Parts: sequence; structure tokens; C-alpha cells
Amino acid sequence: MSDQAMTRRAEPELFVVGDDGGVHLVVSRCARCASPWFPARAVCGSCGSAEVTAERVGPEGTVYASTMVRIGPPAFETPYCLAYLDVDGLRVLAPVQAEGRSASGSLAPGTPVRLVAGAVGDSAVPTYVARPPIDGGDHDA
Amino acid sequence: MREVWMSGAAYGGFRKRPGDGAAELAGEALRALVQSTGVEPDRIDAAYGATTFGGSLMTQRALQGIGVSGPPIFTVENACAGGGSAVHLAWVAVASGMSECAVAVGAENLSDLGGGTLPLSSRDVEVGVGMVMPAAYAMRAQRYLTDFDVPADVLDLVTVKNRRNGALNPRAHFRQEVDIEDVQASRAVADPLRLLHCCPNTDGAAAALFCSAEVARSLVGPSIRVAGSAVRSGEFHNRHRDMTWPDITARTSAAAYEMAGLTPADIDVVELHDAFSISELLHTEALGLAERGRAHVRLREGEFARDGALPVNPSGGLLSRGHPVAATGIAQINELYWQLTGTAGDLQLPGPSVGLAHVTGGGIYGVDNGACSIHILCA
Repeated sequence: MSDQAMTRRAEPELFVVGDDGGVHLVVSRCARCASPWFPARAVCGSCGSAEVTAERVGPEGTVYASTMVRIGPPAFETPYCLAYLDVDGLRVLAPVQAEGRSASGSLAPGTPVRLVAGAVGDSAVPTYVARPPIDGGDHDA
Repeated sequence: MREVWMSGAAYGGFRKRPGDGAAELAGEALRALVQSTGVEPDRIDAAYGATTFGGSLMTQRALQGIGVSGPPIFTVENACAGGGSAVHLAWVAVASGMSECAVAVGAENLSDLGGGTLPLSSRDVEVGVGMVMPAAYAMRAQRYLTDFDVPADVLDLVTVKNRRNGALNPRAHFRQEVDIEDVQASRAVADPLRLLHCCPNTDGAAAALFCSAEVARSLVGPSIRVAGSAVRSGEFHNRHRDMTWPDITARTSAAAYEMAGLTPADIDVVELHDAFSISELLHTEALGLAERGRAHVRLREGEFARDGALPVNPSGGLLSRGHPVAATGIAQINELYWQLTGTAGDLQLPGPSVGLAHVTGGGIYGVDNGACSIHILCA
């Protein structure tokens, strides 16, 4: 191993953007126990196997639960909407945004969403966000 | 394994104490413990401290306050379950015969972190997109209210009950009763949770003494038996998770009930982890103390009140006492010690003989909670 490889930490690729603008999350799946992992892992967190293969999931998902955060960490402008999503068997937390702005209320469980690229907090690094249906979903879930 | 006895309980702080470090608060609790039990410090042959924000070697620094240095001393970190974890390690030490007389102490100064939500690990993928602890519990609340078709005012009722209990507790950070209107008028934190659905950030310490039967007999205070002591970690996965069922609480309590040879029906009094009002409902069910999806009905019927069939958080819980993270697990066990020895003062319930203490916590992605600790104590 070179000195450079020992000192540089590789950031795993979190997602790729498809031709249609949808975000596909880069997931690793364990060849032994079939557990999905996001972010991708070199070793399965359930069974310890190093036999994991890369997969992509999304961009369509469903809201499991959602909240409007009104008191948040310093780097985040409040209020902002978060949701746990079910995406092809994976549970993932994502900010909920439309047109670059946070959704104005919690989304009801079961609301369909689409993963797209966006930005959160004070970071300039693009990340994945969930875009709600055009009508914005249930604001009083 | 031999029987382990709890022979003393003490606290320090449980107020805003800016500038007083965790070790200083822990030392205050330890001095009160020595004074109330009459234990000679040189009999303490092991010490387990817990802190999340209190820095390296907190326990050594705290024990110096009662003149104990030399024996094995450890500081453990297990987020909100740190205090319960320290008690578990003290129990292991005495049960195994390695120790005759062990202390557990948990301490935290949260004022010195500044206000707002507690800082979580910045390397966590969920924290990176804005996760905070109230948001995690807010989403559990949304699902519970949706899945079981529950009117949202049940969250207010948990707060009203626990604040009413806390008004009687001289150790509580908040001693003012609140009504439903107060809760609903408080500031929104993470929908549907409002400020009065969330426990306060509090500075404090709690300490307890665990010993063999022989040592227990030699001390001035009363003793209770530790019938069950269990710690479990959260199962890590990214698959679907039913967030209304804290499986870590169910798994840990199953181990504790089995060790004690008891069932949920045997429990007379409970101190559980109501960091947020929704937590009390979820954990009451996962502990087997209410049927699935029915804790809200029993709460509304008054069964978990001080004068109900099963008092839950008669001390006022975290919602009143406050939550100095790693001190909380020991504070709960101490509240049970005072109940089971008939020394709870204004808080005293009529003759409970079996108590259960539950803490769980930790905000890391991929687990419902990082760690959980449950103790069952018998008069």
C-alpha cells in the first residue's frame, strides 16, 4: 500500500443521477445474507461477510414517516422537512424538498416521492433529496 | 453468580449548573452517597462511571472527591444508556465475586455545550442531512398516531401526568405542573412534538452503591436486591424497521425478566425513558406492560398515574427530572431504591415491592437505539 493510499480516505459514492434526473442510491448488498446497505459498505454489518456487490436503488420511494424540524442544528435553516423513505427494500432518511425549498409540512405515511439531487444545510456538496408529489402531500399528518 | 444488593442512592445537581463539570457533579453525588450509607471509602473496590460529554477519566476525577484512588476504575460511554450500563458493570463485578462493594456513578454537564438539541456524531449519514433526536422521535410519534389511529392529545397527556408527578419531587428540574393548553401552546420542535413533549437538558449526577450481602448488612441504610440486570445493543440494519416497536427494549426486557424469574405482571412501579412523551407509550408496550397499540388507552384511563394500577414514572420521569444523559439511568434506579425502601418522601407509593428501570438511547443511523439497559429491583 502506498503512503498516499494509507493517508487518504476514500469517500464512498452515495448516488448517481440518471438521464431522467432521478437519483439512484449506490447500495451494497450482501451475497451471503442479502442485507442492503446504504451508504455502501465493504463488509456486511449484519453477518460480517466481505462478499458484497454494488447495486443501485430508486429513484422512486414511499414515505414511512416524516416531520418538520423547527429547532435544528446551527448549520441548518429551519424549518425543514425530513422523511424516512422505503426505497426498494431500503430504509433511508432524506430531506424533502421541491424546487430547491423544503416542503412546508410533514408528509403522510405512504406518500410517494422521487429522489432527486439537491443541497442541505450549509454544504455546497450535492446530496439526495425526496421530491413530494406536485400537491405537496398532507400538511397535517 | 451471587446475589447483588443495592445499598445506597444519591444525586447531585439536576438543575442548570453551568461551569460545574461532570466530574465535579459526580463528586457531589458520591459524597452524598458516602454520607447516607456510612460506607468507608476504602471499602469501595471497583467503580464504574458513565458520561458522554464529561471527558476522559471522568470517574477517576470524581472518585478523588471521596478519597478513592487505586482500585479498578472505568468510565463507560453508552449515550443515554450509559448510567444503566455502569450499574450493569457494577452488578457484574459484585455478582462474579470480583468486587465486594462497587459504585456506579453517571454525570453530565449539558449547559456547557450551549442550548438546543444535543450534538450527534457528525460522521453519521443521517446527521449529515439534518437528523436530530427530536426528529427521530417525532417520526415515531407520527407513525404511532397513524398506525393505531390515536388522537394526538395523548402526547400532551404523558407530559401532564409526568409533570404532575415531578411537582412532588425535590430532585426534579421542573416542579411546576402543566395542563394540556400549556403543552399545546409551547414552541414547536419537530412536528408533532412541542417543547413540553421533550425532556430538558439538565446538569446532574447520580451515584449508587452495589455490594455483597455481607457488606450490605454492615451498612446503615436499607438494601434492595438486584433481581435482573441486562444491557443490549441495537441491531444494525438498513431494511424496513417498525419504528413504533423499539425491539431493543423488548429484547433487553426479555433478558431481564428471565434473569429475575418475573413477568411484566409482577412489576409494581416503573421508571422508563420518557426523553420524549411518545417514548413512554412505545416503551411501555415494548416492556410488555401494555398491549401493542393500547398504551394510549390505558394512559387515558389513568392506569399509569401515581394512583393507577401501574405507576409509570412516578418521579416525574425525564420530562420533569431532566436528562443529564449518562446520569439518567442511575437516577431512575435511585428513584426505585427510595420507593422500594419506603424512603421516597412525598413521592412514596403504597408499598411497591418490585420495580423496573429502563433507559435506552443513542442517535446513530441503522439502529432504533444504540444501547438499552434494564434493571429489576426487589424490596
